[in-house]
Amino acid sequence: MNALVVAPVVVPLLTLLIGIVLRPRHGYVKVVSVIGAGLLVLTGGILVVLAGDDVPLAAQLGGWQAPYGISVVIDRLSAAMVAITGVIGLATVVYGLVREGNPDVLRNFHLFVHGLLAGVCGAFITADVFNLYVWFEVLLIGSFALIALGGGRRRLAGTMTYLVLNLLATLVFLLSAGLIYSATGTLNMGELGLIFRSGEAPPAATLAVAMMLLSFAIKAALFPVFGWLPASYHVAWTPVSALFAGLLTKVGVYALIRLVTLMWPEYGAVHEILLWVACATMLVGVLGAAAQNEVRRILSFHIVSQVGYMILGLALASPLAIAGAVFYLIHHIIVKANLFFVGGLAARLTGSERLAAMGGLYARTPWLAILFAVPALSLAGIPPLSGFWAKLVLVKASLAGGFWWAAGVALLTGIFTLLSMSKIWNETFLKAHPGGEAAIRPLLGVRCAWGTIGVLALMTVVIGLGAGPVMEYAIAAAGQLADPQLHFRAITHPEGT
Amino acid sequence: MLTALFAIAVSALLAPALSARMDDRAGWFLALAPLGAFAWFVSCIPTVAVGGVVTESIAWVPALGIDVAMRLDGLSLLFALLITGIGTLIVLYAGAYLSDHHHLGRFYAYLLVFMMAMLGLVLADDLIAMFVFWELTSVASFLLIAFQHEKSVSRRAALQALLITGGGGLALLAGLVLLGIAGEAWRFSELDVAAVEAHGLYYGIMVLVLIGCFTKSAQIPFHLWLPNAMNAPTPVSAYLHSATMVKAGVYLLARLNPVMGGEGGWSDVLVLVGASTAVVGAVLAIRQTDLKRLLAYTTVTVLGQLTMLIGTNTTYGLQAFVLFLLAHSLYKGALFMAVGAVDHATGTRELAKLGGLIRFMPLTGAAVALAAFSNAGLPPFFGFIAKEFAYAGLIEMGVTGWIVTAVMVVTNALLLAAAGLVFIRTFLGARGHYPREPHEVPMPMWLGPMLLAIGGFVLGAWHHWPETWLINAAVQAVARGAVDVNLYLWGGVTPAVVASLLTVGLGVLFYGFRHAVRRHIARWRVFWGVSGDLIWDRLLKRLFRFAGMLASGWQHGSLRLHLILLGLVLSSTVFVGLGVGGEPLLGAGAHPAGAVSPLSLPGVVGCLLALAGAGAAAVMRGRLALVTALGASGLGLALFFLAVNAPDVATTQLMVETLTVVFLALVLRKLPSIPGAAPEGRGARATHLLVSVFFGAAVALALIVAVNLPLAGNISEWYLQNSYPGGKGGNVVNVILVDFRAFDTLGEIVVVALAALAAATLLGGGEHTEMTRRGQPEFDSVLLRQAVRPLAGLLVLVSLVLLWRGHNLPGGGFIGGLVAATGFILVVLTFGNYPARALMRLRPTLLVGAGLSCAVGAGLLGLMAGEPFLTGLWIFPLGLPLGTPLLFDMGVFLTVFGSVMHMMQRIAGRAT
Repeated sequence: MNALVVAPVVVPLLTLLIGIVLRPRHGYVKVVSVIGAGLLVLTGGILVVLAGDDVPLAAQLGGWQAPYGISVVIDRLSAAMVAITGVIGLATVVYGLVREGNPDVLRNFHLFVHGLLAGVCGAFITADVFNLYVWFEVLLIGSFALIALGGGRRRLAGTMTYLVLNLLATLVFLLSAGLIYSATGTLNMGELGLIFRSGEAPPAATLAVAMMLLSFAIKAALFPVFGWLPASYHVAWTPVSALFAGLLTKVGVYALIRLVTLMWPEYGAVHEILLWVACATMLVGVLGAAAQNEVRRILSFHIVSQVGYMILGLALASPLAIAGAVFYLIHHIIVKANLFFVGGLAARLTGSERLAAMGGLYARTPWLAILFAVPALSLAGIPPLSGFWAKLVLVKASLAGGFWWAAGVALLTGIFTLLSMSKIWNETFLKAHPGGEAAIRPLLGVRCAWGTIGVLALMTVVIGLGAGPVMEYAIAAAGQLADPQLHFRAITHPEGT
Repeated sequence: MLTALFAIAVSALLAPALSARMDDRAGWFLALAPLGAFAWFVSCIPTVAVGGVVTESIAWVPALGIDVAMRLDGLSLLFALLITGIGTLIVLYAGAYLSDHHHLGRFYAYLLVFMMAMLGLVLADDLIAMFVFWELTSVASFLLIAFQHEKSVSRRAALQALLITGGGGLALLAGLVLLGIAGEAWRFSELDVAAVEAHGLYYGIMVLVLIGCFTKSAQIPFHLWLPNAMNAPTPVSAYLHSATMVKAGVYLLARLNPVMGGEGGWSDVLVLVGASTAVVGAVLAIRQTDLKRLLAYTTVTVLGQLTMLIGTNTTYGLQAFVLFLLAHSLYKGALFMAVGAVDHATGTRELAKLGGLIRFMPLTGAAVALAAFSNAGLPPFFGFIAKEFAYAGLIEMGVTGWIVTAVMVVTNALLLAAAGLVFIRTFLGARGHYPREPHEVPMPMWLGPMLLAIGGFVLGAWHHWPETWLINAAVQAVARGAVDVNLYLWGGVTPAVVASLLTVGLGVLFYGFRHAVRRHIARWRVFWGVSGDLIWDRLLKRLFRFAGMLASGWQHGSLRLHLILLGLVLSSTVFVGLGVGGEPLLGAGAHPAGAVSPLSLPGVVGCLLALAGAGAAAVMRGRLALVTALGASGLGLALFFLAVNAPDVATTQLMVETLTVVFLALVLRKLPSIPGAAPEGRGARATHLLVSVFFGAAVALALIVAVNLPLAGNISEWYLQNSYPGGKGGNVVNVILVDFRAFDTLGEIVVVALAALAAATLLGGGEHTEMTRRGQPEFDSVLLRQAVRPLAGLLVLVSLVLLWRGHNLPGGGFIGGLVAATGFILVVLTFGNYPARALMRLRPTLLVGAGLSCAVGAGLLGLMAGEPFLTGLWIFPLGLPLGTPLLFDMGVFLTVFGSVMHMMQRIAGRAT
């Protein structure tokens, strides 16, 4: 058990360090990378099975008791996030095996991916605020390394925006971690949760948490501080943007869910603010997406609106709503990453990412059209795909809670999503290619990419048609989040009892 | 029932492959699934006709109480028969109609998916399951309308249909969820009518459900998508856009009529909207010259009438609804298919070019004749009974009913004229000017219209049969109470008969003077000016423009503006937080006794230096000057740390600053000079200043608060007490780093390693350049060469000492690694890259790998001993404490050292 709870971090780290040692032999690095990602999927799967118990899995690292040592706690939410991270990680490295023009530039790709995965998984399993900061830093530097891969003027400009704005968010997080430590004397999330729930949190702690939530909000790309995302995601190499689109903002969302549910179980001022922010995020994000004219720009801007849905679930605070947020997270990560993957192939086929210069794929590669349609429709919440259930639960929770306007915004965003997705569909697939049939290039050496896209689309369909177990899991996860005593018991009695 | 759905879904999946193998014969195979389903539904008729229901259910999402629950009652059965029956004919028809199309397989697949969805829609008893099928029909319709995807009109029409029906669908979803909450059940059959009517949101539910139904069934003002949808191939128009899908909205209205149709205004809205839609549809229909568009508008009319008839909620009205539904599906399906056949045979659908086709296409012509009679509502066709009952139903309503009846007489007269156009103008009279030489169409193409048209005749002539087996059960399902169903062709001279006669008379008149009517209608320019399509286009354009404006608020491409926004939000949060926190935060905190005062000489000097450096950085220009200023600032901080008794932090700070300056200087020397930054106005600069001061103040205040508070909790005491007994080290800082919170440190060295790799990638070209190019020394001076050798050696030695003693005295792996790297950097700078590489022997990345391995390995050793990750294990050979934390520290040392060297070699290896 001790090994299993740290495996989400240790597996990518071991992959990373083996990769560093084998670095000159690129062929070996690829093999190690795929195996490592596969092991992470396996780890996640085992954790999801084991997390079925109500008391989360936990360990005190170094054997030092809480709050002196660092706690690692894996509840259902964490386990699901690790599993899904593994899936996207594996998808990314497999897709990354495609033969692109300049392999030399992309040499460190696999190393950075696993570095990033270590950071992401670390953030998902830790129960210590400062440790969370550390993993945020790891994933920041990993993502910076990835986004800059390949260089080039446009790419570096995007990288710069990404780095500076995220660095600022990270620094604010550091500041607030320090502040919270001096105000409460602990960095342990469980203990912090109890302090806040007792209603006796010192004012300085409240200030600190407000700053912390803000830094998470930047990471999660919430209104109005999402500016870094549409400025940078589209510049990276396709598998990199897919990985980012799937995972990065979701770490921020996860952190928000983790802290807010621990500290404020009932609907209150924080939720009120989050609710407004969520609605604004949904609308601005989806309208911004509709205004774009490049595939990846549409998809990137659109991430913002999707994050709004998850925060809506969090803000509504009812168990059903939180379950909706959890379900949304799981569904969205797969769908969004897949859309970027498909977009990458479409761009390579047509030779452009600008909608105006694309076209003709519906007639040429109907399978790609289907593989785009599945995640795109799921994103718009069309049944019976995964996105529908996520949206249904959120709408139901909004209406049941009397927030009819929030439900209205969520539904309106859905129709605009359909609009922006159909923009890609019409321009890239249906319309004839402006350069004629001959302008569509044949693709060689992309079998791994097809496999990736196919499997992810299949997962979307399976989660949609077989929503029962997933929804049950999400509801159970929400139940666990609502009861911090479980979290605390896991820390104080890590062996269970 | 589930089997039927499954069979159709499977045949949809098989369709592309089958079609590729068997060409147009595939249709005969694919039609088997709907035909089988039709047969099954026919076999259910006896059960349902006597009031029985057939149910099936499997759990879907039990956590939300959602099942795929199917319930076959009279209404569902009627629809199911239409869907599968017409569906079978359509599949055959499509095979012939699109026989030479290269995407026929795809077409079959979409069509069958639609059929499955539509069937599910009318069978589903579960609210959510019904909605799932509802949306699927919209998607299938989208795909089918855009089937001829190269044409931009098709794409536009498909998108329009998708957005309108999809948008309505979302409203419907909200409505259904509310309905479920209000009705305390998720099944149509179990909804608590009293609870729904008493619910506070009754009107909300009603509006939302109505929007959903009206968009789907093309009621005013959402009707505009339907005529445009005629860009789809004809089988689609016949099946989806007249016989089945557009009736989904009507179906749901009927389904919910028992629940919602109380006193709450439901009926009034339905009658009003339905009647207006009917009139508008009829007026627009008579204006059309394209046969398909003409039929599309008559469909709009009929949909309006159906809606209206549900709204009457009278005995005759509801019977008329069911009758009309059936009659319309039969004759309109037939007419559409026939028009498709005409189009196929002659190459045109323009009325002006057609005429006299009966000579070439007798079978199609016969079918059209029969269908048109039913359409016109002439006895003894089924359409006649339907119309008769409709008038009777309206009249039953009283005064409103009379008015509506009058309107309907005109509307139906227009329909009659339209039917006349379709048959007389196309098939009779003189020969038209066809683009192609016409011919009779193949059997699958005339079979469908013929069967449907004959159906319309048979059902009318022998109306007792449908009354007993179909109509009765369906009417009971729609009505709120029991309704006595009794069909007749002739019920004596009633007001309805008079209305019927009037209709026929007026209709003939309209047909006779059709040109005059058209001219007259064309005069209402104001009315056509507000055509929905123009509004739609303008709406979309506005929307995109607004979205563009909104997006540009965040897509200005200026990092400065991003920073300003972020800075403002951050500082506002802090200020608001401070405001909420109130005075206690800023009040003079009680300092714990014995705290170190920062007010020593080196402390003050350090602070001043740091401030001066920061200030200089803000005003100076030129890269090197900036670097120097920042370096000075960092040096000041190091001094300050020293003054407050933090030697570890101070040393680290010092080393980091040194290395930063070296690296920056090396890199910057090789860059071209700064291109002139974008000129800034005075206002912009003032804004920047303001924002930065605001931000600085916020951060400073937050820090003051943090420092001012007495430290809560006992963590630091616990660390002090347990450092030696638990962590075997006297230097608490180091024990925290490598033992108490080693997990943090592990993360941090990963950061260092990744940063080095990333920076190296950015700095240099590929691996090959690094391997082959000999870096030139940066400082080529003899004096330096003499001095550096011992100095570098000394530094490396010092670093090892620092590493070793770090556990008990200031030092440790991190500082050690930095010091060692500094030593080697001196060598690189003085002797060049190559000698340094020779001296080191190992690739720096290998060192990084080794370092990470040591650190992770130290953690894994703990696991192997059955303890948590990173637990310290100690052995004491000769009384010397050796433990895994030391191994961990060594890992830190190697990682830091290797990372710095990796970057250095990259920089030094670069050609100048």
